[in-house]
This record gives sequence, C-alpha cells and structure tokens, in this order.
Amino acid sequence: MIAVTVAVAAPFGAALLSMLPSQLPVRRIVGSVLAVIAVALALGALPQLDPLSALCVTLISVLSLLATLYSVSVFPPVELEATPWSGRRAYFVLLGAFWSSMLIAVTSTSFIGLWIGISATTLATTFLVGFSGGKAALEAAWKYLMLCSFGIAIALIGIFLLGHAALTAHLAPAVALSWDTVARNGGRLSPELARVALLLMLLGFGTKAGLVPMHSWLPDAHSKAPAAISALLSGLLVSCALYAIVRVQHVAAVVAPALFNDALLVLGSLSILVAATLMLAQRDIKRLLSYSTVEHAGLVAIALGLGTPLGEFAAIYHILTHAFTKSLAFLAVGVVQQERGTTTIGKLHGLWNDASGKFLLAALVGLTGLPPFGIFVSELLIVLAAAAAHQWAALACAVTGLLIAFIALARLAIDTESGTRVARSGEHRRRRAAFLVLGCATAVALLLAVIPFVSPIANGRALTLALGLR
Amino acid sequence: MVIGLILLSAAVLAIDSRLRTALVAYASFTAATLWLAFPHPSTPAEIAFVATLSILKLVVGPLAIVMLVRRYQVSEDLAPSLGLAWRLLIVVVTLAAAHAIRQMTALNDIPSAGVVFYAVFASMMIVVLHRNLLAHVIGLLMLGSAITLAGAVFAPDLPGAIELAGTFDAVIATLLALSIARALLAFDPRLDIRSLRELRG
Repeated sequence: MIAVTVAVAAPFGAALLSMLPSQLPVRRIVGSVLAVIAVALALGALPQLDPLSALCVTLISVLSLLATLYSVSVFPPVELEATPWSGRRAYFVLLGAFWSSMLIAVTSTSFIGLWIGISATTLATTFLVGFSGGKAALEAAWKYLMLCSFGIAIALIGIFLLGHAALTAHLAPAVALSWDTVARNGGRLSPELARVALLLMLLGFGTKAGLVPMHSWLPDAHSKAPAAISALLSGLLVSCALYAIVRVQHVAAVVAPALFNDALLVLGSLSILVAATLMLAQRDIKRLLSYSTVEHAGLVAIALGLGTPLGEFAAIYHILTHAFTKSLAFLAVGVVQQERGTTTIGKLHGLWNDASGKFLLAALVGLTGLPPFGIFVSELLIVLAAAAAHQWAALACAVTGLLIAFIALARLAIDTESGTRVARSGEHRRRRAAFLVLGCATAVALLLAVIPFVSPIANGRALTLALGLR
Repeated sequence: MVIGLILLSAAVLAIDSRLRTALVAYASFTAATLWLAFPHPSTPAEIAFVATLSILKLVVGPLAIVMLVRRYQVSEDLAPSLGLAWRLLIVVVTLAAAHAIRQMTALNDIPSAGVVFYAVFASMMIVVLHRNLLAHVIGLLMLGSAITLAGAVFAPDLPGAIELAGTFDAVIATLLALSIARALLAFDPRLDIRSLRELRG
C-alpha cells in the first residue's frame, strides 16, 4: 500500500522538486532524472496491483515519461495574450499533477478512488488545454470544463446510487464501493437501482472517454492543447476513462449484463461511424487525429460490449496499441508544427523529406490499421470477436467506420507526405530528445503486434483467447 | 417549503436574464440545497464542513462574480439564447422530467430523489439557456450544490461521500470556472459565447 501511494505521489512530487533549481538547464536535467525515478517507483509497485491496474500503471508511466522528456525538448509556444498559468514551471507542475491523478484512478480499488482520479485529471488538464492562452485554446478549455464537469458529476451520482444499493443490501460501508465486493454481492443489490446507477456511470465516464454523443469537447480540447498534452489526452486520459468503463462493466456483468453491453454497443457503433465520417471533413491534422481518438474509443466500446473474454481482451489490447500509436502521431505533429508553423493540412507538403514527417507517416500507417503495427492485430481481434459473438450490426458499423477512417488517414498521409518540400517557416533547432522519444514510441507501437502473444506475463492466455475465439 | 424554494429559484434563474436577479436566485437555491442536505449538523466536523461550504458558495462565489463584473465592466445581461415562452416551456419540461424520474421503481425508497435530479437538470438548463459565460459559472456552481445534495440524499452513510461532493463543488465549479472565465475576459468583455464559436466540436 505504501509503495503504491509513493508511486502515485511521485510524479507530482518530482514536478514540484524539479522547479526548485533556478537555472533552466539544471532544472531540465533534475526534472528528467526525477521523472525516470517516478517511473521506477511505479514499476516497483506493480506486484501489489491486479493485472489490469498493473498494465495501466505501466502504460501511464511510460507514456507520461516520454511526454515529459518530449516537452523538455519541444516546449509548446505561448501566444501573446498568455494566461497566468502559461509558464514553464506551471506547465510541468500541471503535467506532474495530471500524471499522478491518472495513477490515482488506475491504482484505486473502489469507484470513489477511481472517480477522484478521473475528476482530478480535469483540474490539471483544463489549464493545460488552455495553456497557449489563445482564444481558441481557452474556448476549448471552457468547453472541456463544462462538458466534463457535467459528465463526472453524472458519474458521481451513479456512484452514490450504487453505494445506496450496496448499503441497502447490508454491505459494509467501508467496502460498499469496491468493485470486487459489489460484483461478488451483485445478486443482493436492487437490480433496478443498480441498473440506473451503472448507466449513469457509463454516461459519465463515457463523456470523459469522448463517446458520441458526449464527444463534442474532445476534438477541440485535444487539438488545441500543446502536442505532448494532446498525446496524453488521447493516449492516456481516454484510456483511463475506458478503464473506468471496464471496471463498471465488472459489476454490470453480474447485475445487468445485457442492458450494459447493449448500451456499450450502441455508443460504440455511433462513435465509430460519426467520428470516422467527420474525419473526412477535417482540414487540420490535430483535429483529424482527435476524431480518430473518438473512433478508436468507439471501437473499444464495441469490443467491451460484446461481453466475451476475447472481446474484453481485444478491448484492453486495443487501448494499449492505440495509446502508443496515437501519442506517436500527436508528438510527431508537435515537431512538424514547430518546424512548419502550421497544422493545416492544405499548407503541409513534402513532410517525407523531414525526420518528423517520417515518424508521422509511421503513426498514420499504424492508425489506419495496417501491419506491422500493433493496432492491426488488435483491430483484427475486435472484428473476429464481434463475428464470434454474432454481433453482426456492431461488426458492420465497426468495419464501415474503419474503412472510412482508413480513407481519411490515407488521404492525410498522401496530402502531407508527398509533394515538394516547402521551406520551413518555424524553428530550426535540433531536437535530439524529441526524436529519441518518437523513436521509442514507434518501436513500442510496432512491438505491441507481438508482445501480448509471446510475453510470459500473458502466459499464453492471449494466444489461447485469440485462437480459440472465445 | 425548502423544496419549493429550490424549484422556484431554479425557475427564476432560467427565466430572468438579469445578473442581479440571477445572483439572488442562485443564493436562494444554494441555501435551500444546503439546508436540505444538512438539516441538523451536529458534530463539530459537520458544522465546520457546512460553514466552509456556505462561505464558499454563498459569499466567495457570488462575490467573485460581482468583482469580475465591476472590475472589467462585464455585461450584466445574461443573454438568453431562447425566447421567454421557450424558456418557460423548458422549465416545465424539466419539472416533468424530474417528476418522472421520481416515479421510477428504482428510486421509490429515496424520498428526495426527484429534487436532486431537478437540481442537476436545472444547472444544465441555466447553461443551455444563456449565452453569457457568467451564467455558465452560475450553472456550474449550481451543479456543485446539486452534487452535494445528491451525496447527502443518496449516500448519507457512505464514508467520505458528502465530503467528496463538497470538494468537487469547491474545486471544479468555483475555482476552475472562475479562472477560465477571468482568462476569457481578455478576448470579450461581454463574455458572450457567440464570440467563442471558432471551434466546432
């Protein structure tokens, strides 16, 4: 317990400590070293967590470290009308707070702790979304705050109602909101009240995951935030919200499996179709990638809604592959933005000639679901799981959405990567650390195609599930 | 009486578009929800909690709004986004929705469930029905009160539930909303959301 608490507090503490040295180069070194120590502490706490929490802690730690190192190298530009929180110190403190709050969410064993973590992310990220201080960034931050506040408030009402149902069933107050306890005693809960509670929780956490129709904040917030924050919002925050839905489903599987799974299938199908269609209309790379996040969240919701072991495995696997590939895409776009001074698709040509363009292309190939990236395997598993579960309508929506998204991403890749090289209008300095981060993210996105099937941690379970199509 | 005050003040907030009236209605709404949530605080911890929330919600929040208005000459018109007839209709629909929820079998054994949902719907209603960002701040403050009420009504015996709701109320609604509203003043002193339509989610 102490190891987990230390691991959770470490990123925020590290961010605060790294602010102490007055000279920027020293602060950079101290900050980077402390971030690595925070990751080491988190990995040290893994044996005390259940497998899903351990997986999420690893994901959060690795990606947050990469985003921190990237931010040291590529610090986001600030507009003239900077807000009080638009400084370097505030940025890293908020980043540390964001990192810690995500760890709170995934290391908790009760819905209350999970909710505290998820809502704490709102605190840190609202300011990070509006970091540049520009009008559009503040508008995005405002929209994010309004919609996510209502979302997490609805989730909290659901949690209170579940607590009421648990207490009425004479569960001990101290463990009344622990998902294991509630799931074990699911039969004793009032089914009507538990259903209402679980649906409210799905609605609330679904808002944070950006599922349609509660998605409208996501493309704005993810596209207006600094690149490293966009990477964490799309790669991790959405994953944390989906993790929350997995935990809610853990209880729903006992109390109201059919209703909950149907709701997930509907939300997932809507998300993938609407987001993929809107991807076709985007003129800005970051907005297009943000809609792609909604599409992938929808795909995960469909996989979870299948209610089969293979569906659940594919969903968690897809969360992992998407997190790395989407983060890679946003981080590469961040370098492109600094080099070319824009993210407008029509103004970017010949990116293939630059290293950042090559990384962006790798990410786009991954996001389209082509081999040899991990997303290819996870999407294939989701399609197979849907077919095995005979969920033909959801399968049709998923395949249609994937095809439309493929067209949008392929068009983006062709438009931006081909053509003659345009003279750079942005900054020209070297960014070794940023390219090292991009290289690491690409390597993991590729390796994830095989890791779950050969890893001793999975112990052959992944392969059995995939081959047995259960 | 207390429930009547909640219903009336939320309706006034939806219908009237003057900031002063809105602040009075908001104060009545918050005082009534706090009264309903904590009718008889007995232990010192409870009294301290209620006192802190009351100061924050009834003094700090409204005072910060008044200071923003005076210092930056913000418009005191909350700029309703719909005509009066439509606003009245939405109030009636909200009341009907809360009543329908109250009738659900699942919530039969929770006496004030309908009021909680009405309070949540009302806070959403204020946001949707006005274009001035100060109305949105008031909506978030009301949401905070509604959540505190939800904690007290749905899970009074759940350890930490009410404190959690109160913290959400204080931090998210009051601090964050006011900070962003203050930052947005640099772009539009009227705080009208029509000037914030560059992004199309």
